[in-house]
Amino acid sequence: MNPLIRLRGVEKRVPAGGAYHYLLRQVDLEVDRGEFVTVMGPSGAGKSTLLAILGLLDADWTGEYHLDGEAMHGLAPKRRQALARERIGIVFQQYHLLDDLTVAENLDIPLSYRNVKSSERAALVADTLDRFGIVAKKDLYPRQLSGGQQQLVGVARALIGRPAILLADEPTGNLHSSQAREIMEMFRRINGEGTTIVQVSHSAENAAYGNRVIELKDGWVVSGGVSARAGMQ
Amino acid sequence: MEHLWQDLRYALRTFAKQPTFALTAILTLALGIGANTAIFGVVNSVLLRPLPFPEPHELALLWGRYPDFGRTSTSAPDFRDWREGVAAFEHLSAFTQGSINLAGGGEPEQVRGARVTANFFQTLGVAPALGRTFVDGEDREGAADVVVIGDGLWRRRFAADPAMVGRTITINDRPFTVAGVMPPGFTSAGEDELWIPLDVEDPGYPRRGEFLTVVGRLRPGATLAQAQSQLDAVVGRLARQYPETNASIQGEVVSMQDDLVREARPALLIFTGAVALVLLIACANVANLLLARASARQREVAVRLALGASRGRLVRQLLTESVLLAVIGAGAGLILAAWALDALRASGTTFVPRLAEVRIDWMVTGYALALAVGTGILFGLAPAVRLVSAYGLPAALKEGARGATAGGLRLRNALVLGEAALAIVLLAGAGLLLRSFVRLNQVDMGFDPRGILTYELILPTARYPDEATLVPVIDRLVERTRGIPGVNAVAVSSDLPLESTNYLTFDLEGRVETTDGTGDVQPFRVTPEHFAVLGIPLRSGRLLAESDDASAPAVAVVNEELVRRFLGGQDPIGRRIQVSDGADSAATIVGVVGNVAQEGVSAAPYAQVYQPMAQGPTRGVRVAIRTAGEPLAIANQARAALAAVDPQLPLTKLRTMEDRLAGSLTQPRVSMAVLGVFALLALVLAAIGIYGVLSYAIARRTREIGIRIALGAQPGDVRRLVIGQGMRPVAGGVLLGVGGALLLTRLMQGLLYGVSPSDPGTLAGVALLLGAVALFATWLPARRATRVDALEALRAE
Ligand SMILES: Nc1ncnc2c1ncn2[C@@H]1O[C@H](COP(=O)(O)OP(=O)(O)OP(=O)(O)O)[C@@H](O)[C@H]1O
Ligand SMILES: [Mg+2]
Repeated sequence: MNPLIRLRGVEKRVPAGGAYHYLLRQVDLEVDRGEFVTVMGPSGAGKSTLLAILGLLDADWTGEYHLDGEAMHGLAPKRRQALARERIGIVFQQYHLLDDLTVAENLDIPLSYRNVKSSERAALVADTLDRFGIVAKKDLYPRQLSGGQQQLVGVARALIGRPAILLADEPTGNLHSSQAREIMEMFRRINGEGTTIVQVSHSAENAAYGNRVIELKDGWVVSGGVSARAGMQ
Repeated sequence: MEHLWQDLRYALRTFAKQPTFALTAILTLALGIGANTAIFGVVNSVLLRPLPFPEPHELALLWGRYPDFGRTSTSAPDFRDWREGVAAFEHLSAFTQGSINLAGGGEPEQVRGARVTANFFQTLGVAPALGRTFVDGEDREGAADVVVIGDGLWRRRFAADPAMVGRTITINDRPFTVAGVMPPGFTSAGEDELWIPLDVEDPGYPRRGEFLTVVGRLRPGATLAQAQSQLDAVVGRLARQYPETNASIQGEVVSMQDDLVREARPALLIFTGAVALVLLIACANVANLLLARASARQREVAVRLALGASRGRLVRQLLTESVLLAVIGAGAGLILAAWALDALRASGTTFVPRLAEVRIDWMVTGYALALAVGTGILFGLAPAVRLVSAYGLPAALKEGARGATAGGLRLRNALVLGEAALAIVLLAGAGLLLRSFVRLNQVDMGFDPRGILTYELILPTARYPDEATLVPVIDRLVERTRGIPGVNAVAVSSDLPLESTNYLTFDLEGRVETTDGTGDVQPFRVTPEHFAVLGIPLRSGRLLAESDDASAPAVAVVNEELVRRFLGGQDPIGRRIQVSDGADSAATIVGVVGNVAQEGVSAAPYAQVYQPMAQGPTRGVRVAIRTAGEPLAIANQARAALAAVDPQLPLTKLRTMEDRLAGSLTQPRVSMAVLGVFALLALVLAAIGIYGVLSYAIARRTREIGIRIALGAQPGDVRRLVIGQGMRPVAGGVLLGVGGALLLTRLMQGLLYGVSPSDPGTLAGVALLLGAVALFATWLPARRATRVDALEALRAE
């Protein structure tokens, strides 16, 4: 069976004073269904850049990217966006909740951009609030929550559309260690329920929740680009 | 003072650093203040500045009034009785205006003049520059013929001859001795240039021959109300004494100033309101600009506060900037106003009296400056206070703009709402005038103005001394002109439709006395093809013919209104009619034609009589030529035809009939154009305001839009979001504006024709128009929003 994510020779460069500056070089990478991998590396290594490509937010790169067997390179923007909506949920380090919306309304945003009936939407929001234990907070605004609670909402929002893959860029970067652990526990549970997770983290403790570490340095994959199982084949 | 100077220098430096901001604000204010200044200039000259007579508040005009018909001039017998009975006036004089043929001292010419009672100048209280005015009794039968001339005529025709008094000039073929010359700037109503005595004591004047305008000067201490009640008493007595002629006539006393501006005042007041709205919109826009700049200046203000500046001092500095902007805007506005006034004068409109006196003087300049300071404070205060007080000091020093300006956005949305509402009110006003104008143009005028070339001509006494010489020259001119290829018919007449101010009393065999209007007719002298040229339909009998010449029996054609009003619908053919125009004998009515509009296209029909030119030619004539093609195409041939008849005759006002008509539509056209310009200005300013606010809002919401795109929003979703945000205050404004329009357009009832002030079609139309323009204004920021790079936006934290 194909890996869920398969990158071959992916490169990302930006113009810099007449020449090019490479952010990613010859990235080969595979992630199987059900994996929970952690991308690590020094600051500026290209971790966020890689995650944006995986999350289909960035289409400006070269190389091959197959998502569930379908080629993402050279894909029409509409189809790419549709796939992103369908398959991928994203958690941000800065939570990126909308300040003027309540918790419940923030959860509803991704649904409003998918073909979900409004009756179903309400049910899904209620379900999700319940699943993440934030029913009591549903009418509060983001600024009325602690950082950990805000990120919990962020995770809930990323998952409400039932994506196959959860991408998280330093999800605990702004949190205290106890709050961070809570989020990681949540990730483990989600992963156990079948969601594939790719997270960026600086912390070995966080990485320990996952099953594999991909190491990036200066845009190169230094180690762990291919899963143990794939490697054995 | 020291501070002010410093603030001014600092303000100028700020503008220089942000020239786009400063230019946009100044231009916006220049439009707003310029429009206000121009209208104030007109209002100041026309409504506020007193008439150029001593103690002008003592001057009043007296009118007769028929309950169903409106005001009229007065007959000589009525005037005499009024003079006896109304004691509140120290002087009561009468005059009648018209064209006067003048000879002596140059080529004969026609000038506007008035016949006046001897006490006319005494009533107005103006002394002559040279010689004297008329003395008591000089207006009586048998007195010597004397004339008083105006300054303009004296300089133009007589080269300002210092020995003018005592010279003899020929007026209407009679020698008159010049008694005096009036000072520059003196004019009675209209552009009169000479005055000759009028004898109102002549017992031959009938009770119902109204031709006099009556002007009086109140005794010191007397009031208009007293004069009115005395006039009421006299009029009541006359009604009992002469029931057959005076039963339904009332009297009316009006202050001369009010009377002069009677027609113009409602329009001018509406314009004043309209420009005030435009200025408010301009202020809202500049306030928006300042608010946008305020977010960029938080740090500067916070630093100044931290360094110990007081909040009051800072507000003053910020207000100095906004007032300075407004003053520069006012400077540019004054230039725009001067242009606008030139354009208004060039439009040739006559419905605004004393337009020639309008200029940008120190009063108007002062008004513009005062307006600048007022508006500078108006649009500057809210942003300044918000800037200085809204942000906690430490927060502003540490943090960026976000969050802190949420209130700013609310204020800006309120400004957009207000702008939209004001724009709707203005658009509704302009829309109603436009509809009226269209209706007026559709009114059936009783003739067809298309395809007619016209010009005017005076046949001077020197070359054509009498009827025997006038008739042949007119005949030859008609014949020559008809020979031009493409000419279908040619008419020479004393007056063309919508231009005659000539009303005469008349006798009619079997006349039914009426009370529903004046007893006058409008007399026309015409050549036979007049009806063919103008397309005036024959209703019964026959039209005038070539054979109705000087040797044939006198005949006349009358219009339907005359038959309806004075004959109760009886058959007029064969009856005798005599118009009191000096013709010796009565004419026999041979035909009835349709009514032709007169005195403005929307006025009620008037009784009209047409008599053959050949049986009583006039010296001032209008030539009308019906052409197969474009009338102006034969202009040169028409000139040549005239030159072939008499190369010495100058022709004036060569233009199409439709152009002549445009003149009688000037009041509605100018009103529509002026209000239309203001409404367009309002629309553009409102669109700029909406665009500005939304652009700012989008800049503020980049992160949010980025998040939404990352969460799956598609371009359509983003567009909807932005347009929705932009249109919400506009929709509120439209609702408010429609409500406001329903209240305010009622004030312009008097300017409207054939359309209700609350016309739902117009209101719906302007709401749609504003909606469409607003949608366009939101479209650009919305498109920009869909291009937000989610990655970029999310990284920017
Ligand atoms: N659009 C861009 N244009 C130019 N340079 C960029 C762009 N995006 C990222 N970079 C640069 O590329 C490098 C990699 O960026 P990236 O954000 O992927 O690093 P990272 O591994 O996530 O680092 P950190 O741990 O600090 O988040 C950095 O030096 C960054 O400044
Ligand atoms: Mg990063």
